[in-house]
Amino acid sequence: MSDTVLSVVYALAGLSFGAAVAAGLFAFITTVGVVTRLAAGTKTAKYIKLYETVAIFGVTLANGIDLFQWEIFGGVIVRCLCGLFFGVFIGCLAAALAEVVNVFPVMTRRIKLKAGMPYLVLAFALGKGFGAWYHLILGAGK
Amino acid sequence: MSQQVTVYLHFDQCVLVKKRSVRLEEVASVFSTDPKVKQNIGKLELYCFPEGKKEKKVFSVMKVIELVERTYPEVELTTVGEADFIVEYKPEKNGPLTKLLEWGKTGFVALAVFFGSAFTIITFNKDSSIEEIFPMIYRLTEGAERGGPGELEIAYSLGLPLGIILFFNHFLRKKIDSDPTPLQVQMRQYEKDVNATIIENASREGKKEDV
Repeated sequence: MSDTVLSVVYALAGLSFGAAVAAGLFAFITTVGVVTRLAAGTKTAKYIKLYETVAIFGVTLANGIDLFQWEIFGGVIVRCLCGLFFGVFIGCLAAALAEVVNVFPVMTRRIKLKAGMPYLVLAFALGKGFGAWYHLILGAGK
Repeated sequence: MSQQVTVYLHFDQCVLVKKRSVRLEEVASVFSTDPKVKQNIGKLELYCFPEGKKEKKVFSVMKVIELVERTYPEVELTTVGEADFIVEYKPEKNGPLTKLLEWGKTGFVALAVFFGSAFTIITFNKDSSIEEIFPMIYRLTEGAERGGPGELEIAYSLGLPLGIILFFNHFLRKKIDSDPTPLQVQMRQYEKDVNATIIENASREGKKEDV
């Protein structure tokens, strides 16, 4: 009896943990504006609902893999896809985060930069790429 | 002298046109008590884009007033809405290639969102040490840890998509209410910011069609 009660409590607790985490995480992603910017950049704003659906499936699947050690089929191609799109999304996230906190406008005003904004962005992107390469491939993180 | 006719013009911030010759009725909603005047003014040509090239042009409402007053000095104009507006000219292209490109781009973004949200939930789980928190709860409530995942994990995994569905107001849209989703709100907000920036830039660089 008490085991059943406990199970119900667990289930309710887990359900609310998940809902709260998901709402928080996606409030963050929405505010930072990664998806909207990707959609605006590719002029596919009308498919925004598809992107929402896809996000729901992505989170659910990855969470299952993480918590229950689900085995996923696929070989090198799936790994390449994973790596590439992890990178694309996290790159967007990093850039969007920098933008939300006004890193670029503040910096450019401080040093009175008038031109060369595209180079600044390029440098940002290359820096991220270099950092990842240095950390993961050269093994500086080990 | 005939009685003066008032014409009302309403402008939106951004209008998309497919033909290079832009008539007033395409960029504004025109209203007048005199239907003939309404029709004439709607047919006035505001601008003609160069052939075949995508272009965005910023106009001041003053330009419209000038145009109308020059042709029909007797009408009285009342404008509502934006003081500056963007006309985006996009020649109609409906080849299979355009469609394919659109699908390709949508697929790319969908993949990025799918893998990206997958990655962020794993990093979140690791970051907040879920593997320690759940066993801790089992320990506190049952006095012993469990070998594997239990009810908490299963419910958590159900709660995650549920939370996003609730947050995005997804799937159940019609049932809950007809508000747009936060992502759609954010999208519009972003487009509005972009339009405002285009208008500001055009004014600063003197590229605005003004009087």
